[in-house]
Amino acid sequence: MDMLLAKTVVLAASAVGAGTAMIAGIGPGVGQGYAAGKAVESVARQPEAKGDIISTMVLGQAVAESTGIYSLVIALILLYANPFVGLLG
Amino acid sequence: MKKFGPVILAAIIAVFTFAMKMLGFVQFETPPLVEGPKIMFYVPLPQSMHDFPFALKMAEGSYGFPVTITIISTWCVMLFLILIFRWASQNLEIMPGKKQAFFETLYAFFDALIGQMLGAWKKKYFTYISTLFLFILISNIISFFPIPGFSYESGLLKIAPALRTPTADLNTTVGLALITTYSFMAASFRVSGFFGFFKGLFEPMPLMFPINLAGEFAKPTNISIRLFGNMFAGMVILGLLYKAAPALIPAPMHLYFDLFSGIVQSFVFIMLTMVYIQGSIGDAEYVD
Repeated sequence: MDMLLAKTVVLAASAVGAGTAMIAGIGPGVGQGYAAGKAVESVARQPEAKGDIISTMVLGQAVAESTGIYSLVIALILLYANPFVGLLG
Repeated sequence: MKKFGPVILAAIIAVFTFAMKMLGFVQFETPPLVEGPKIMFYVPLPQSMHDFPFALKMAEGSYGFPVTITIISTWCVMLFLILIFRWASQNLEIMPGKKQAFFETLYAFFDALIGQMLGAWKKKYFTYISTLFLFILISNIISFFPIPGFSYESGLLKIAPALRTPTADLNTTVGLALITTYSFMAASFRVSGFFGFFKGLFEPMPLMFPINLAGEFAKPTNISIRLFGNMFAGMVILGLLYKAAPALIPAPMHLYFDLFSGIVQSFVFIMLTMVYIQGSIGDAEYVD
């Protein structure tokens, strides 16, 4: 019975942790939106440089996205490959 | 009338399979919510080699190498690429037809992109980077195309997607990232020499050594986890939608999660690869 309780607590805490980890999705969202807005401004100012601006923007957004992806990986590990259940023995 | 031939054929097939489903002969399997790559078959090994690395027990007392759906999908992608470029490079003419014009546009796209990033070093890295882009692109969008896989079980014909996105498996993406790591490390050694590379880790001051080292290890981690995370998350979200809604609602979402996300991520992968190679090269002159 104690084992079952411990497992329940670990699983519930993992679910909460996975949800909390995804708060990190805010950062990339704000950053990518800011980059896209700046890119729109630059295209409006210099329409002939559209191709260069878009490829630079996509590259910058991809780098900004990595923190979001890391948190997604943590959430996925907590949900589907939970290491803490194994620690219970 | 001739133009509508394929549409009518597809409609007849759809109505027929739907009727068979109603009668209970056919079952459609939606993509699973979360699933690692399935093991399709084993390459058997002799009994004496059962503690060989990666060997798994396949039945009572016999061992073999597992071959997963990822490997089969990768083979399909490679076969597709080989066949299509064999076909494309035949009968080249001075006045290009439709087929040749398309592939020449593709070549010009890579030529401009890589030339813009790497300059004269384009000659050395063109093959690797364009192959990388095409492979990742086809791998990413493979689940956009409805390739059916059939299996027959106790009087019930099951129809499920035959292939699984190879890049939604960490093994593929880490492999690709390691090749990229090899290429930019080799460029670094070639340009600045073995000791020059290690000297570069102590720039601008020796105190920065741990941070520079972590930065070197962050590069392959970054690109592999990004590709895997995007593709796997797309798969999970589509699996959720298939569980929650009938097939008409999730079907258009394939446009975003497979096609758009796949194209952008393959582009980002090669852009980051080129940025890393560029960082290793610095402003060194290209010598043949």
